[in-house]
Amino acid sequence: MAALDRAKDESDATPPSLGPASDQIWLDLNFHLTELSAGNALIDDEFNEELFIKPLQKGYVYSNFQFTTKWNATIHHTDTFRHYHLFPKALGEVLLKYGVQELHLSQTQGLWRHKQWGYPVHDAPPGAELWVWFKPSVSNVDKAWTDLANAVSGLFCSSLNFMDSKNIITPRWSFRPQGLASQAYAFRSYFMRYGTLPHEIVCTENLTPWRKLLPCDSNAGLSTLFNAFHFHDANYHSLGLHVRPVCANPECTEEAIELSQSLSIVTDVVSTSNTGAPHWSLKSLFGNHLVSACPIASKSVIIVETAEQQASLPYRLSPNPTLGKEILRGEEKHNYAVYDVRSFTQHGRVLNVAGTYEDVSRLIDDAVPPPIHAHRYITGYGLADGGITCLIHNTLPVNQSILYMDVVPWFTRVYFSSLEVTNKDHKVPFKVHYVPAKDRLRPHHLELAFMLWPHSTTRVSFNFTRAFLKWTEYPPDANHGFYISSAVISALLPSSLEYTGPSQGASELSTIFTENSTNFMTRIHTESLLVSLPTPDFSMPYNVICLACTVLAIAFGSMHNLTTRRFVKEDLSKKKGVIAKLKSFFSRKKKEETAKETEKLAADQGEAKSESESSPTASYDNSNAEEQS
Amino acid sequence: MGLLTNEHSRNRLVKLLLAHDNKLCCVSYIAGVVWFLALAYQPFNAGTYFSENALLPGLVESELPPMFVSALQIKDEIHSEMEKDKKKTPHAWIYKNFREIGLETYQQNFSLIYPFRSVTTQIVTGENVFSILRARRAASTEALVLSIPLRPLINVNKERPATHGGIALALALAKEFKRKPYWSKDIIFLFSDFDEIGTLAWLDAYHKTESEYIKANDLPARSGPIQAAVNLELPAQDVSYYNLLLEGLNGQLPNLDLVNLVVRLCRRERSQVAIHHSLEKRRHQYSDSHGESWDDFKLSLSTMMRMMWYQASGAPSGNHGMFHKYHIEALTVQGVVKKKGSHNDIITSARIVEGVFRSLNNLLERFHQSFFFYLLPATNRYVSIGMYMPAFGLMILASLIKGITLWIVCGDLKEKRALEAKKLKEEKEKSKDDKGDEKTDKKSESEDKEKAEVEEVLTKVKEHVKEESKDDEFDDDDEGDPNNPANQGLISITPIILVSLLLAWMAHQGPELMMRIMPKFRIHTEDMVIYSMLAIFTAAVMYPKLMIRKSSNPNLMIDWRLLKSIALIGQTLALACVALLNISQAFFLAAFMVPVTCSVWPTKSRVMRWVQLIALVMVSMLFLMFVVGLISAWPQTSTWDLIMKGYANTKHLIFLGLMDAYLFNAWSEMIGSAIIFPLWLLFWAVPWADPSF
Repeated sequence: MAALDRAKDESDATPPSLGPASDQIWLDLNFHLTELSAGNALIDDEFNEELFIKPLQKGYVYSNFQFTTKWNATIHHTDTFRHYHLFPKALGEVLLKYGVQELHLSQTQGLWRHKQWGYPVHDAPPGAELWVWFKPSVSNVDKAWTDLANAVSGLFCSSLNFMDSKNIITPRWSFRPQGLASQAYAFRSYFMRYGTLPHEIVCTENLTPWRKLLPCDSNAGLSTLFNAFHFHDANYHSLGLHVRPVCANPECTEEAIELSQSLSIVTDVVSTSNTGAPHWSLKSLFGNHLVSACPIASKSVIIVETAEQQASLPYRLSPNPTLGKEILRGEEKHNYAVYDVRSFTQHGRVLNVAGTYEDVSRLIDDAVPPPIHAHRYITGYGLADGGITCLIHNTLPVNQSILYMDVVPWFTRVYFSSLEVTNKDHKVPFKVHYVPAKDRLRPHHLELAFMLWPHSTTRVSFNFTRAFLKWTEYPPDANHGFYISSAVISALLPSSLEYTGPSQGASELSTIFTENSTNFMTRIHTESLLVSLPTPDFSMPYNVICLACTVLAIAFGSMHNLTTRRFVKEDLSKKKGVIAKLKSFFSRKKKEETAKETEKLAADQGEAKSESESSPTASYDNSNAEEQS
Repeated sequence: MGLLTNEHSRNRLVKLLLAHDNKLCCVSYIAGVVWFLALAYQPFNAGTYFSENALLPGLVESELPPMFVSALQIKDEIHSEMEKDKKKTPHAWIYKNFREIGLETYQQNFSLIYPFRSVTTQIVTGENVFSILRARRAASTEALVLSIPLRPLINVNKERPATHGGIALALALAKEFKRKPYWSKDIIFLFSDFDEIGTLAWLDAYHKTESEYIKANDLPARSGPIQAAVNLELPAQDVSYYNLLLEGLNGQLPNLDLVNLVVRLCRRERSQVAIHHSLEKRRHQYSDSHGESWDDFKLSLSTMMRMMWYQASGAPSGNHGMFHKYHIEALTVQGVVKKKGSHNDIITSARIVEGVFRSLNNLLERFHQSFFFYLLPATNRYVSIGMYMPAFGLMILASLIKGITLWIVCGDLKEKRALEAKKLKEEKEKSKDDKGDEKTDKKSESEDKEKAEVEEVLTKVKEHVKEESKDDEFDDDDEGDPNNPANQGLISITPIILVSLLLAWMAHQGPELMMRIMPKFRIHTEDMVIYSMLAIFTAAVMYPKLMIRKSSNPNLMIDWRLLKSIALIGQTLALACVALLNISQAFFLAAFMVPVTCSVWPTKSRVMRWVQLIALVMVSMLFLMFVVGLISAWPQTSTWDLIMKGYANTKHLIFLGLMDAYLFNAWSEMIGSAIIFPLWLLFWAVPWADPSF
């Protein structure tokens, strides 16, 4: 908690480096420049902002903002993090303190539907995902992770601190450093931790701190398009933050730190528009048009992917782009239209990129599914056993090897023996890395490497049994169910069909135009799952107490007495001592008629006493006795 | 030493039980039945209420356009589409239209392998269409289902009305729902072919479970766990009231909160809603103060009985019944067209369905509050399991009391016989050596004392036994010697129990075995089933006759008290277990069986024996099925017609019961043939037994 508080303080304490008005921006910038010229340090960094828009099938539009800060300094030097320029100090200090080499965070609401939408630039699972490579100098990685998770959750107002040992793992094959790293370091995942929170809900409170890390905040540039209403109305939105060491120059003689912040949104244009037409524009997507570029940004562009292979679906862009590009990525042709925001917004003009379809009726055509997509679901019903099945489709005409990673919580106890990878009822050979769970300590960690056959569907399936939790371990909404995070499928695809991101080494989206790679690193996240566990009736303790008290005290007690005790006619002589005396006295009197007056007095006293006891039987007995006498 | 541990006081209790057992049985049975039926009386049941506060029914304003023109247009469109070919269901039309509004739409094929394969090798194939509306803000972790059965116009009848009004409604709602950002659960629109079979095929594929006779193709897409389902059967015309069907497979019921929700939202739209067409009078609908008159009681009782009638069958009363198997709360809403009375157009229906789905959308947790076991005497009154169980308990207490009494008598008789045997032996010995030693005299004296004591108790038992076999004389010279240990205790009744279990197994397996050899006979399947049942039943009826030993007297030489005691206790246990699963089934079984089975005893009088046998046949499963058939065929012109129609219905019912058991794993057939039938056979042996026991 201490770490969290501190992190919060830090984020609060960080003054926004830029004021609301552009005048102030320049002031601030001048201040920084003077600092630079003072020669304290060689702060050499660069900021780019890009917006990538891709209209998808069926009236969806995918927009991906990407803000890249590249700081020509090495992450391994502690001196680096003394002076900041464009790089956010709040983040820099966290990186330094916990010895982070690479950090990848995504916070997502909704599910990216690969089959319909293709691949996003950065794939993210529903909820939050954090994976971190720590520097080799970190001695206790687990502790560093805990502290870092707390700090980052404070920084982004999310509950990442719930990523404890119960749901983090050290992936063996599926994750490699994305930036610069030595071979020896990259292939030993000892310094890496991966955690997810599938139920994390992402909202404006996460957007605000994320936006504050931008040099222009949302005062100028593309970030002025941020509109929480439109984002949270969207079908999918994902906040991403990636920090990694990269090459500062093409020759890779120097290192740089790259901070890449991305925000992806998928908007259903048809449903949100009044006309029901799939035409889109910046105004309809974000509620605003663009008035400026971020003055600090060295590049500020909007890239629209016009048509991949969908000649069937022509649409017109307005205004005319700065330049159009037609490039070949792998064997697929991609068309892009590029808008230079700065030139479009000069002299107080506004930019409202818009796409208008010529033929609306053909929209319902099904999208060509991307080369690899998956569908994962829970099998079975009831609260005892279940299973997880993942169907992985390969639409390529070639064999495709993939890595499959699944993290299953400990309370769904996986039967490793039931693990099967099949393709049309044939067993597929696979290589497996499996770490079984320990109750309340670590999750099941399953990684598989196998081959997808051309034009086929491969099924990965295994069974589990549901564990009983301790009654304190249930959340308040126990009957809602428990989440199982997404599986991760990683592949190196030979085709760029439906592929949007730049190559792995590239920092900016615009590098798509110049790169000539033929392999496309893809990582897709499947659906997260909801399982219900056997849940006690939580009003039960109350009922049990009531029942136990009632049954024990009244029903059981009396029954027990009735069955185990002998009922004996009350012996009056024992209990009512005085009466007994009286009786015996009278009987004696009967026998021996020589009674004295003093004894009579005593008898009177006894009578009075018995009356004061006001016992009806006693008085009855007494009168009897008197009658007898 | 207490009441039960003390022999003396225990004996008193036992004596009391022995003296009054018949009275106790009668009183508890009659009190039970009366109490159970009285539960329908308004002051004895409770008003429904919402346990799950998250549902917030009716809190949201309808966001449908006030003049829902598109719904009306679609309705006309689908109607003309259906009229084109009355034999076909509009799969293609639905598929096309749902895709056009931009929803993920898929088809699923399934095939039904006929369980009685040898009859027809033909495999029936069907096709489901389903469409998933993905909630914008959620990651497809939860889902709701709106299911609509597809029925070609020629197959429409009163039980299974046309549903294309529902299809139009689903399409119009899907269009509207897609525009709304507030959905937190995916909504699946399911159009199932062949009613329950299609639904089961889809659910099987959804959960990746397999059933033996329904082969379903895999689904190309899914959503998360299904939280609730509404099955909508809405004709194209305006409906005068909505009819709710609740009973699922094996008598499972949906959570009472879901029922309340639908009832409340129908009321909100000022439309009438009923359970099994039992309409309540308008003026009582909104107030709880009325309903105490005799007429109201009759109405509530008939509503409750109708519900119990359907529940007792164990067969689902609609498509929703299949969902219950997968722990999904579901019910059917039927729109009923009547010429008279008020009319609700499709817009009202749309508002009701919208309200239901928006309430379900609010659910944070799956249905777990409220009741899963209840009976409804009215749409707004309920009888919970806590209320009906004591009444039912009293009913079956009768057979338990009788069973225990007989058990005690058995034990006492055994003692007595042992004593008699000893006595006889001693007398023989005595006669042998009359001069016997003086020493033994003392011993025998003390023994005599003991004997005298025991005999005192036994005379009482004897009296009781005599009471039982009132009109027959206690015949000591009987050929079958009751003192023969072979005729006593468990050994004597073991063959009976084994034979009845064997027959039960045959009854359970019989139809299937018969089907194997059936094609040679060229008989209709339904006939074959009932003939095989009758054959087994006849064999069963004859079994005591076959087991009588030829050498001895014409009665079964068995310890009939022990047999009856075991059977009665077994019956109590079986009924109690069935009551926990399906109270209606248990109630009807108990109501018929308990009085007859409690009062069978062996008798020498032929008339009494025949009366008993006929009474027993009347409560056998097969005859009860016939009664059900008669009741369902009730209004007929002549008695002969009634019997013939009743017979035809019985045939059909038994066949359907078997099909349900094969296709859906319904338990009714199993309960009837493997639990109730062997018990009945045990009782069947009792009148045949030797009364001298």
